[in-house]
Amino acid sequence: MKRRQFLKMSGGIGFLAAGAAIGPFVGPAHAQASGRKSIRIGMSVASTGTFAHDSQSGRRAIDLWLEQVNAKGGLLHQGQRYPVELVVRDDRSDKQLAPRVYESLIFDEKVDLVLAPYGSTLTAAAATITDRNDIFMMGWAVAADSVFKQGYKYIVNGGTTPVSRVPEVPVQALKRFGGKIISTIAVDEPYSDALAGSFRATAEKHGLAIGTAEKYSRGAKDFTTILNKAAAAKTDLLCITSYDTDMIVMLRQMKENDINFPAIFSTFSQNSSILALGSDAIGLWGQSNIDPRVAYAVNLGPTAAQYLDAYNAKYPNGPQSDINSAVAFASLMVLGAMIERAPSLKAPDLKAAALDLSGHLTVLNGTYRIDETGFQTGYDILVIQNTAKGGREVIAPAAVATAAPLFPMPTWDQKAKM
Amino acid sequence: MSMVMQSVPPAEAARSVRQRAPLFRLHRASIWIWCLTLAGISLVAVAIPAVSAGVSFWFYLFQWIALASALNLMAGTTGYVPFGFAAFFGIGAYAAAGLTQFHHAPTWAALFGAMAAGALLAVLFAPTLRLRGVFFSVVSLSLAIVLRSLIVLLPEDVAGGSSGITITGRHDPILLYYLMVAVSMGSVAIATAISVTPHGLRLKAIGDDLHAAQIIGVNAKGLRLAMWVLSGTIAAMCGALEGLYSSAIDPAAAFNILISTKAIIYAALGGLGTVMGPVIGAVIMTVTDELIWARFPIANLFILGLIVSATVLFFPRGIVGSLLQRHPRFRRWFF
Repeated sequence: MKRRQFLKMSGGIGFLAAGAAIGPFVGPAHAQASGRKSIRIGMSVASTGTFAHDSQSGRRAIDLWLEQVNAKGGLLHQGQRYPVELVVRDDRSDKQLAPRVYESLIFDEKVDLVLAPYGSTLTAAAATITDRNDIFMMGWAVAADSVFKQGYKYIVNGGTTPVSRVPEVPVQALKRFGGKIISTIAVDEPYSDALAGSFRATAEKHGLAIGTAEKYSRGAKDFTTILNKAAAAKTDLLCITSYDTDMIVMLRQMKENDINFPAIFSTFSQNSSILALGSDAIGLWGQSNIDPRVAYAVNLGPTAAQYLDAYNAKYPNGPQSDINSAVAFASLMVLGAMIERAPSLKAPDLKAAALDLSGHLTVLNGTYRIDETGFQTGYDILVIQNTAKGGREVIAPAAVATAAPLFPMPTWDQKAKM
Repeated sequence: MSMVMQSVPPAEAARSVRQRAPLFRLHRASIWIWCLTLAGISLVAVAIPAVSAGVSFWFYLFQWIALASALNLMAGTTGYVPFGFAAFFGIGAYAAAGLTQFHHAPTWAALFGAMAAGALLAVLFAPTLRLRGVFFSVVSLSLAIVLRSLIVLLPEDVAGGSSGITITGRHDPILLYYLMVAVSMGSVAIATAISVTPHGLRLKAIGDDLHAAQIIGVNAKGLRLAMWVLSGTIAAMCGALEGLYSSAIDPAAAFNILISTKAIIYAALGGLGTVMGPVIGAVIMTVTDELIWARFPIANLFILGLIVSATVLFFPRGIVGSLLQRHPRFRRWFF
């Protein structure tokens, strides 16, 4: 190849490549749509990775909300009903992809507002983009308190009980039942570790003692030592904040070594994998945000029982509604009310509406209440206890309890006879 | 072998390499075109925030160019493929986030700290360079896992524990974007400079046959260590900038094995051992990924997997490597 030919060719290719590469990725700044025909809400869902299961659980409830709202002609905004469009992108549970996803939703799809991705890390990464571009973000699975300490103006937690507030109800319940010592076991992952830390902080706040605070690496299989240490510390409530698979191993080892605790709490106690243990699962405390028997004084949307009926009608072959589905649905109920109240879909107006409605909306999982930063201060969790023959009872808060607690819970010998 | 050593003294052999090495087969215009291309990319990059509403795509594009080029400095030239490359990215992210969040350090100090942490980690991991091939790759991966566990076990006011660090002080994303462009172009410029000097040839000699390179007088240990430190420092800078840009880091994201594998795939697709290859590989794969994930929300990863597989099948030495293999005359122009 001659030098001149090469120079011409490389120049031409370079010019074309630059044009082709830059073209799709540069565009005008975001502008709110004029001549509105619909309300466009953007969100990301993980098709793969750590958050895939949980974010898709939320997506199913969001689709249910969308179907119900659009069946009524949409949301009433500025005196007119607009259908709601949901623009969904895949974030692959990837923190590096989340900012790109939300930029695309804002600039390419021209969405009016966004729902946060699943999880606090992805939400924090996406919020850097949405807040800078003055786009309102409704968080539905953002449990970490730290996200609301970053100074973001336009993010609101509309559905989840923050990780620092989850322990309030079980710790107060333990105190009411006469328990004095709490121990924690966590796997070294963000939510698990943060929840265990919150349990200890809440226990100390309520004057309870800490027995042991153990942490293990993912993949550990022998928990006998840390279980014995917790028992030796005369633990009244053992909080296991790791995975259900690990909890199954721990329960087996407790049974083999006849290690008993008056109460054991885990987020997963009502998972089908734990309930499949039969009588071994009796007495365990778990966490839920809704229960069909608990009907708050709902003034917005369906009660928990009505929501579950609607969910099961839409998804008759499963998967069942879980904690993520319920919080996503609750967030969308609140978001709908904000959109109807706000004079425009601009972020400051939506945030003002979010603050105005704080404390005035009770949805399926309780009363929505936020502070100035958008941090959720409402939505207490329900403590559910497994009973004999696969039954489940709400034991706290006392105001909505469906049964008295089994406290102390049956020992392994007693469970064997139940 | 001893005959060879006696007949060609190492010092003399090294002098011989030094004399023959510079630009012995590259067309001088090729280097100028490449330098002008880099200058052009830099100019376009500077203008991006003015014409594009968002910079995230560009930020991550330049991050992958930097990471692929940094990895290529080690893997492409010396043949050491570090599957634990994410350790440098992670330590950089943690150093910058920790300094910013817990010690209120300004951006420049956080980046300097990250750079120092990356270099220090590279020196600490240097004994692994005694190993070769798959053993080195496995050990480097293990060390990355160990480092991640260590970070988790550190006190929460040092590294945030399992929850990671959420940076409450806000940084200007445009400034961070420009810094990422600078790191990226800097790493490509370093790779270019190394490639066209005798060091490039010495490194290739190490990659081809370590013992033979040592016999002809190449300071294999010193060069390998230099590349290792350089490579790790650039990766740590990328981690620091990404951590500040996204404002949230946790052990799983900072030490994600995908950071290592993506850098290896991007560099290999472009052409390991070439300067242009990692840049081309990173640009093609990042742009392709961007084009398909928005258009195919469900099947985007499947399509991306097919594209990677097809590229490897048709260009087993990477795009630039295969081009040079099939058309040797291009060796005067592509490097």
